[in-house]
Amino acid sequence: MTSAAPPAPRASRRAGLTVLLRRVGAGIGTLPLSLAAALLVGFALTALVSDEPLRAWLALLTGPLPEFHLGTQGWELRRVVLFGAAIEDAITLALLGLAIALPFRARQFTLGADGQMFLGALAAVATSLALAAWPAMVVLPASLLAAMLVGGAWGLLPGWMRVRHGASEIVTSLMLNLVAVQLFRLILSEWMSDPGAGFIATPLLPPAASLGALIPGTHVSAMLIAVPLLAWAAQAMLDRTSAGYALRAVGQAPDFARRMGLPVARTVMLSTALGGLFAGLAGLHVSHALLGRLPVDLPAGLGYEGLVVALLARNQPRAIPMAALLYAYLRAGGQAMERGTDVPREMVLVIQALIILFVVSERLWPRLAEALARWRSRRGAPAVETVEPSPGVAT
Amino acid sequence: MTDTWTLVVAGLVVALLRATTPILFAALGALVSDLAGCVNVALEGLMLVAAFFGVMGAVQAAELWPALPVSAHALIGGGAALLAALALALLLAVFHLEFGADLIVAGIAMNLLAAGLTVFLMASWVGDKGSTATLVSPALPALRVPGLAGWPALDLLVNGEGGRGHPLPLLLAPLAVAAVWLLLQRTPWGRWLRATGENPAAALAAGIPVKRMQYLALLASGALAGLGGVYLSMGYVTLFQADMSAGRGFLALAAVFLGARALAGTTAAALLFGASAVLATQLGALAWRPQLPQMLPPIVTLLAMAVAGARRARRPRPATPEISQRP
Amino acid sequence: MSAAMNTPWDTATSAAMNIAMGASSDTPPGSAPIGAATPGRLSLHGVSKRYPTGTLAVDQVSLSIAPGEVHAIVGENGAGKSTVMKMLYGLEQPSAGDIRLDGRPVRWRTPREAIAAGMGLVPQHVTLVPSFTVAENVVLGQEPRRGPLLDTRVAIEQVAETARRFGLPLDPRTPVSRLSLGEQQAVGLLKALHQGARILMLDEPTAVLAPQQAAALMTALRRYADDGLAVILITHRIAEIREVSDRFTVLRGGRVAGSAATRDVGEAEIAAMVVGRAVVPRRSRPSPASERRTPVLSMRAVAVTDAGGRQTLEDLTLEIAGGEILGIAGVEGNGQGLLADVLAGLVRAERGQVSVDGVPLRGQGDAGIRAARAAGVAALPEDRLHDGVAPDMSITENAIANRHAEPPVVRRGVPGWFGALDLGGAARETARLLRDFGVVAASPEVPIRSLSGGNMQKVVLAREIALAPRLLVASQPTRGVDIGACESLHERLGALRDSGAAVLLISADLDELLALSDRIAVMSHGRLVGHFAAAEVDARRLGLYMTGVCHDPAARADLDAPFTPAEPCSPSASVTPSAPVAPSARSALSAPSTPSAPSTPSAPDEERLP
Repeated sequence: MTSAAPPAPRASRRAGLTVLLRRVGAGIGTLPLSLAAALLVGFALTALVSDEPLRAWLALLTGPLPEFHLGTQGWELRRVVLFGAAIEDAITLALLGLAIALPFRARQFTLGADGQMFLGALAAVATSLALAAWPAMVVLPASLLAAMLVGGAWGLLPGWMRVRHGASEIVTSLMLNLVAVQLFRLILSEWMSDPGAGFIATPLLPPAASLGALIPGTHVSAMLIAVPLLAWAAQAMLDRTSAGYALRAVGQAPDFARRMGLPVARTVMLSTALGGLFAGLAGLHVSHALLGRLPVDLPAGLGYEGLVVALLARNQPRAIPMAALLYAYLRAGGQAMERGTDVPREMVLVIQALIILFVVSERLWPRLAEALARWRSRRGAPAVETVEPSPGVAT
Repeated sequence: MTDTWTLVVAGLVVALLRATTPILFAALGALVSDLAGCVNVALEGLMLVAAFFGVMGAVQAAELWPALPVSAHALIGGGAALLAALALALLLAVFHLEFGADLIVAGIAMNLLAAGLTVFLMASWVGDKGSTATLVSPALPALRVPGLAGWPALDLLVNGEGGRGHPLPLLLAPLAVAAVWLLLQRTPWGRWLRATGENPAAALAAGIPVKRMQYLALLASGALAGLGGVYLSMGYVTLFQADMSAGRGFLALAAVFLGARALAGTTAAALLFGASAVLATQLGALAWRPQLPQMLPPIVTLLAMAVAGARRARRPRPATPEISQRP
Repeated sequence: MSAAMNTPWDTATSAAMNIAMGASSDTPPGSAPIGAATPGRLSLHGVSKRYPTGTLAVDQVSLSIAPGEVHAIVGENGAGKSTVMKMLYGLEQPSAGDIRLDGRPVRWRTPREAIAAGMGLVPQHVTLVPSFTVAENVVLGQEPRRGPLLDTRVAIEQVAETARRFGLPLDPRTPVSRLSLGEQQAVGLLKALHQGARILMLDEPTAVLAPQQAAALMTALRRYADDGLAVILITHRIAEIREVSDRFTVLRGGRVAGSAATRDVGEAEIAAMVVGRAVVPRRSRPSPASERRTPVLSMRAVAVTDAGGRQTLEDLTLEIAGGEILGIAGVEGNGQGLLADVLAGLVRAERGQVSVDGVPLRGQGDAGIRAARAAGVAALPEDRLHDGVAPDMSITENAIANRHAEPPVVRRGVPGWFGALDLGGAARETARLLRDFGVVAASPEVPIRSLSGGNMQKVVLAREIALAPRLLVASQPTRGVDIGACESLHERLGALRDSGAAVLLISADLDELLALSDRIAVMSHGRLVGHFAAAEVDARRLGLYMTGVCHDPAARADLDAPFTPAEPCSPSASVTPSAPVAPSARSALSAPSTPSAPSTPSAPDEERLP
């Protein structure tokens, strides 16, 4: 079954590399590999259609970075806008990632973050506008609550339909997305549109409702601090509370969980509702921190990018802020790339898709490693442990 | 009086067929792959790439071989579109079946890939990120039945508005339904497909190449969705717009669930969704808000799923109710 | 088996399909009649199978089977039998060694190739497509065609013909979902035969059959062998080896532990080869007679139907007192699973009452399970990996599953559901538990799936008895458990009984039932058909009641109920027109005589026999 001769030193180094590759293929270390592969393929595609692929890639990878300048008054931060955009994006994406990751841990593949975000944002704006006369201490918490409640309620629906009617949460959440977007547009254009604005949108939010900017010149707000705390809290809940234990058990072994008397129905509904809660917060972030108002043509689809963030973080809440930052950085890089070269930023979507594919392909890297090992052994290096059959040779 | 009514009805029927066709094609694709046990959520992306590459293929053909008639250019474009959809479906299949990627996630990745790739290429090749309106792209050939001038309603029905005839994909749609029925019910291939989806262990033990069946199912669903996409950009409308599929891929998936994963039900559901789209435009013409009828298909689907679930619950409960099943 | 008409269209289509499907057979399957002069000696030479995870499932196994021979492959669970069979069917490939047919090495990469070479497999869990009919399932993969389309009529004809030829009366038009487990198994057998199997493999075929049906199956297999087939019977029941095989091979730990002609060896020697040491079945100490006999579990006239309509409970009355074990014997699929689910709280009794310590159990689903647990019911589920553990969670997390929302697992102070878990304390307690039960694990934090079946079951048992239950429902507790762990589990069950709890033991292992139980009740068709004191009954008698040969219409298992009288034994009145099985069945027990079908005759709506 295995060859008997002890490998020579050079061969053992090559063998060691193969084993390393195999181990890397099996562990979490595939993430950098997947990222690199996705970037490589994207680069190849860009090179096919663009005249300046290298410049484009440089812009992609370094564009969002701010510059530190030693000026007359000490250190200054320049070129913050794109950097700020990356951080703002990261905050939204982190919340959306949490919105997807938590239900996923309970095996609820709900894709409803988009709809929950839209309705949560709408509720928050409605609350802020209604309480415009009140001070920030009232307006902000009320808006937060509104966003969380409405988002949570909309997120509850797929879970409830799954528990009560056995309906696939994938389909119900997708349908609810469609309904939510239409509802959003209907309510906004019917009852909340600002006649004075040049386009269909809500009135500007009152100053009491604004989240101040931490980095001047950007929209980076206090949510920057809130997000890692929220992620940490979510992780703590999962790992160290009864509810979190039930959630994980229901996700990993649902029939076992049921027979142990775990409150399965309640847990499923809690997981999707929590997801909706975070998506609602993402909506509030968009309306209150980023835009200052809600336009009727708010683009849908950001929720699906939350899926990528959750995937990158392997559905672990504590890894989501970093994953979101990485992802948002890529998007901002895409903007820099588009501004500076002839490569449109939709290339980033392609890269994102490739990242998803490479990350979730469980067998991609192991198979590559094995192919490499076989190629090596065929070239004469002594085989390390192979599982190749040797017909007719009884060992 | 009755003449006007029949004319109106005929007009509505034509509108219904026009709206239903892309959803129907995609729904057929969704059904075929779902019966094989592979839920294809990448229908949006498949339609998108087909729509885009159809236009680009036809334009390119016109540049390379200007001597050929326009319909030839269009057909070459159609061929390019199908190839593109097949390529994307193959990518999905490879990543799922060879590399173990989760099918739903990979499907969403395909949608992102298609959205990004089409706009990216459009910007590079056409210089416009919104649509290919600046290009002159042909429509697929249309079939026209002459000599129906005496029966205006019939003429409208058969030859469409303006008597120009219906484009090829619309006429192919009912043929596609018939072909899928034949395939599923009357050929071994259809049996193998259903066996693969219902009990892959049984299929494998029977010697059916399960993986190959799943490949073929995904490719077939790609081809069908591709036909839907080609209709979008080379049928009545002859250009490609960013995000042209506009959620039809997801509606197609809903149609399969609404139709209880049966061919007749899926077709009926697709017609229902087409009717909602028609309703939305009609109401829009009356200055009603278009959002209400556009909410109709998803709400109907949700209600249907709720009713189906309630009906299942009223039957005596199974001894071990499962919540661990995915569709 | 008649081939479909071969027009050029057929040949072209078949060729195209074959190219598309990648078949590479020389002889179309199903074309070789059995008993033809084609030789078919199958042999394995030094075959090993090492899985990528490192597990060595099969270690240099060599054996050979000739046509006309019935060869038994024997061994305990996990000895490698199933792996060998998978390799013989193209589902796995050997890592080393080779398989030879008539001396020529063969390598089957897919089941299709194996089928084409004449292999046939009837798996343990028969794999059929529920929405297809019998005929559609049997011809699946090789449907007769007319042009590119299916030829359903020919298919039905051909299947009916095969069924007749091999003595398996099944109606080809019946939807498979309506058949009983035994009938479904017959469909599996029919399929293998229809595909032209010359070497027939059956994996534990009698697991779902009553003793009389099993005997009939053995007779049929003997006949097939006499007609020229080679039959490989994979089993762990020594009695079957004695009854039907010509030769046998014993596997232990993936290796060949012995091989002989059946008539040369006695049962005890075979058992020793299987186990590797002499095993003396031990009777547990008889329980101390308790004066106050109040029932812990009381079920009165309980009736339930499950959704599929496949299982029911009818007029079930039983009671278990504290400090006793009631065993339930019966062929699988006669309501035992439903009984376990009712007691677990998953299913509600439609009629009758169920109560534990006087507390009625009336719920179902999630709420019912919680109510049952609150009343003191614990369970060892039949499907351990699926229902008993969360395989990817750690041992600790599995061990606290039934106490996750209460102290001491939850720290005091934070209310109820969002309470914080005391993970350190739980880990320490689990480590102690592992030591107590003799489970060797790297740490309590490793995933529980890394444990063997026996160790896993120990953890499950430990978890269930940690809450001092009043009633333990043990379903097949030692299935897939090695002998050493078996003894340990039996001891623990006995200890639980001695501590005053009630135990309901559902088991297909009559030896286990006889050794552990105080009383035994027999279930058939969801009813009790016999009630015995364990010390006064033996396996043979239990078998008679399990198959409806004998029937006690007044059987009840409450604490005051009389035991079923020894003689006479009256056949069940509810056994239907296929009653001819009954008289010949009795003789089948003593000596297999005329071949009889292992399943009921065909009309689809007829009452199902077990």
